[in-house]
Amino acid sequence: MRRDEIPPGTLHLLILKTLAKAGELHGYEIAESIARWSDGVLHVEEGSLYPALQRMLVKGWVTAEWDTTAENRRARYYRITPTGRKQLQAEVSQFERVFQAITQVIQTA
Amino acid sequence: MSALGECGRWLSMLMRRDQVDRDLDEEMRLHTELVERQLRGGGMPADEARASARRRVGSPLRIREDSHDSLGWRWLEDLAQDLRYGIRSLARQKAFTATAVTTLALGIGATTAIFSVVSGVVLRPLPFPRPDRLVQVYTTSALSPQGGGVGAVDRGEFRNQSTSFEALASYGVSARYLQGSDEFQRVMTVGAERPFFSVLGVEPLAGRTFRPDDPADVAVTGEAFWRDRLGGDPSVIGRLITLDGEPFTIIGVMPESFQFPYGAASLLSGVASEGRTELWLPSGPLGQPGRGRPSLVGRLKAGVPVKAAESELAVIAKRLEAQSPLTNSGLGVRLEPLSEGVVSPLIRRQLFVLFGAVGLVLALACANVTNLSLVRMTLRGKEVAVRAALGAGSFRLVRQLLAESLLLSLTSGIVGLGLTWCGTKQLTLLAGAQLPRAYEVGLDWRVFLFLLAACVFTGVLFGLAPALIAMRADAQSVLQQSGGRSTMGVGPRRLRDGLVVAEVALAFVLAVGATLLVRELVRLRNTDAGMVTANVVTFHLGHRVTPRTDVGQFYEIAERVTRLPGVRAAGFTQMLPLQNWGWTSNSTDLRPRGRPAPESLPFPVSMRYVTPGYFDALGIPIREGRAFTATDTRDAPPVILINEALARRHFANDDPVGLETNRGTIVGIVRDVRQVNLDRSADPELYFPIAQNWSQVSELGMSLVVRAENRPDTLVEPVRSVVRQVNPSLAIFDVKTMDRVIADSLSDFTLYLSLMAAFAALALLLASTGTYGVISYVATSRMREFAIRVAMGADEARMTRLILGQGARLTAIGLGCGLFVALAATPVLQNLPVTVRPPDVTLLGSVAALIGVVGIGACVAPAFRAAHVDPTFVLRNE
Repeated sequence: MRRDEIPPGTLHLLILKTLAKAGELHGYEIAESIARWSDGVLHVEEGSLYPALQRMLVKGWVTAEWDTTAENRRARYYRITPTGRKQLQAEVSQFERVFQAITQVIQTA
Repeated sequence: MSALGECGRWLSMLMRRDQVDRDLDEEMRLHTELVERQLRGGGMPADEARASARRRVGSPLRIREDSHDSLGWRWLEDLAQDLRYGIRSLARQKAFTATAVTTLALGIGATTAIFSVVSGVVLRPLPFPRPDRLVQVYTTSALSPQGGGVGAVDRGEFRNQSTSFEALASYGVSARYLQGSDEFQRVMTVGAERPFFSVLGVEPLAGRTFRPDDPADVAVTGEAFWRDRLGGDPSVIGRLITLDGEPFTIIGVMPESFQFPYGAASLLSGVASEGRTELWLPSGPLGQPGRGRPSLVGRLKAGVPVKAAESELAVIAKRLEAQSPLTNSGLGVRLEPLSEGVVSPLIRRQLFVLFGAVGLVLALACANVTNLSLVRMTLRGKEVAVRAALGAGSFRLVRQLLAESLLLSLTSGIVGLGLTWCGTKQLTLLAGAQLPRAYEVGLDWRVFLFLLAACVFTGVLFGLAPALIAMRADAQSVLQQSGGRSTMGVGPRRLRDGLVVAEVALAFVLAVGATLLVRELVRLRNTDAGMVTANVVTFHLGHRVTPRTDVGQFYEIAERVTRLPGVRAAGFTQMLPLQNWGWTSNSTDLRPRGRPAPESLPFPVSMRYVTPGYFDALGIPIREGRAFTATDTRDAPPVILINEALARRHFANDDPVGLETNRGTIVGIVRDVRQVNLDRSADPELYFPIAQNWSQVSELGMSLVVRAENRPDTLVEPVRSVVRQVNPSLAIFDVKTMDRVIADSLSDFTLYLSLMAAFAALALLLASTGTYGVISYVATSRMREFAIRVAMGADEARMTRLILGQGARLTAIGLGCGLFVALAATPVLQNLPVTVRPPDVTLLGSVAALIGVVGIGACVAPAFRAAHVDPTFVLRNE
């Protein structure tokens, strides 16, 4: 299975979307979900996932709370906030615009 | 809002960063475990899965650093490290740190102290709501183009016809006598029209201010008056005080910050003991305008520009002139923003000159510390090179060095703050009576902001040069140098020489400035004021104009004092010379009887009211004719004396003595006396005997001048008892020798001069230590070369010349630059409190010689060391 780097600038978008879809996830689950929903194409580096989550906590897009997993392990669960949803919308529309533009360029060529 | 929330979350995470790190570690552990389990689930052996999971997740430390980075903590951590390192390195080099901190603290502290005065007096808006809408209104005439107070009629017309103002209120200052338990105290009171306080818009501390329907016997006091003279009585509202025998009810207390009109007492500066404004009374009985021509202040309606209001009033003035051309000829109007009326442009400029001078001192301090850190940098070249070789980025290195210099400048700032605090307190104390708004000077946020800015600015300034040089240094070449001894490159050497040149130049400019002022002070001190002041003591006698006081009592006092043993002469005048007060009239009001008035443009004539003994007491000679005598009584024909200036100006071709005028017969000509200030030659003056002009003598009181044989101080008590015997209700105050009166008249200039002189001395000290530092460093770093020279046979004289020559060269270039700057800066002298003549060759030459001697003197010790170098010792120690 080939793993592709996440395009720069879209990590926040992916994390926010994942959380919006799944509700409450801990870090490993976020990485797994992104991998699963992209059919294993997108792989989030742990080295960028956790710094990104810290940054998003400061920004107020997500909140985090300690809880226990199904196997009774302590894990930190992230959840998207209303500000996060607004940010998600903004990032999605921006991504779509850029994506569309890129597609257009590729097709004309 | 969201930015604020973000900031809060950032701070709260920063506060519990250990917790944040622990949380992250735990997350990483879980993550690694889960990855490991997944790999094992895929069929990988346990230990391989663990290693692989670790590899994939990466070092937890690295992730922690990255997450700190993404949180923007990294630079904070670096900063903390830089600061720790800086503190260690500064603590190690105690001599350097102490010198640098002292130098900078002096510079920053002095500059901030002067800034606090500039800020409080000039920059801060007046402490009234919407001060930009407050204006001072003057009426002008041909005689006084600057304008003066506004008479009642004009005031009424302005008020009725103008639409530019929300309100106008007049005010004037007068002396009243407050009845104490056993004696009378003089109080300067402001008689103000009832809208006065609402025009200014200031609320009282307690009670209320004037209402339109208030009777005339109410009073508003200042906080200081309430505290000092009424004992801070909390139930003071409604209390009665007795002024000139009449009761007044206190209705309000104004806060200390309300001092309007500023320096009320200084308006009559002869009696200025302290510039505070303490008591406000409603002027004139209810519904009647007050007498005289009081000052007028107004509040413009919103959106009305000062110019528009001025033209509106000018139109009204033209109309008034047309209605009564006799009394209102040439009537004009001038409006001035109140802020300018309170602090005149002249005072502003003087303060700015002072600020500029102290700024130069700060620049010198900066140059000195830059020089010190350059030396330090050279000595640390190896350390920096090692750090660079070990991989420290040049940005990081510069930042480290800047952090160090900022640490140094901030420490200096804190030390300097102490200096500022003392300096500001002293300055306001000394200048309180002369400088408007001096009581508002204090250490407010503006001052702190300035201090901080000064620290950062100087820190960057003297930190940047060495840092940039360090950054440029090539690590390899530094490390290869033998024995780690490093000398300066050409760049730093030029910079150092340039700094010495600049220091000498700045010191020269300041020294020239201070010397010029000293020269003027000497000139003023030696100015012949037209009177003899030795052994003269003066008393101020306040009197209430009651049936118990009459003019005869003053003649009696003068006569009895003259008969006291040890007294040569005694006499009264209304106000002493150099106390800068007098009534003026118009030269056209002095008309000779029976012949046409002399043809000259009208000019102001000062009026002096004296008793016969006055001229003897102050040693003022009568040039022609006779002085007043005891026979010039109320019933005798009126007589006047004129001074030489008036004789010259008004009666150029005639002998005026014996001339009869509408004001009396001119019986003599008196020598010119400098009355306004020592710097200004005498104005035309008229003297009247008090006996014939009792009604003109104001409530301010009279000054008694007593000339003693010797020891005038022994006369104070006998004179007091004479006064008490004649009239016990006369208040005696301001007992001063005439020399003191003269010195006091120069006190603002003396203060200014002492500040300038202090700055110049400081500059000289800094420049000489700077020169010493550079030359002695040069001498030390060339010691090996010198040793070789000496070993080759160079003698002491030659070695001394070598070092001294270098110092002399730098000093000479500095003097050249300084001369240029000093000459270019001469126009600044126009702004000083007295006339200052531009510098001449002698003065420039002697200041240059002084600085040359100091500069070369600073090189003597290094030169001596170089000349007595022991070649074997130095070369063996290589």
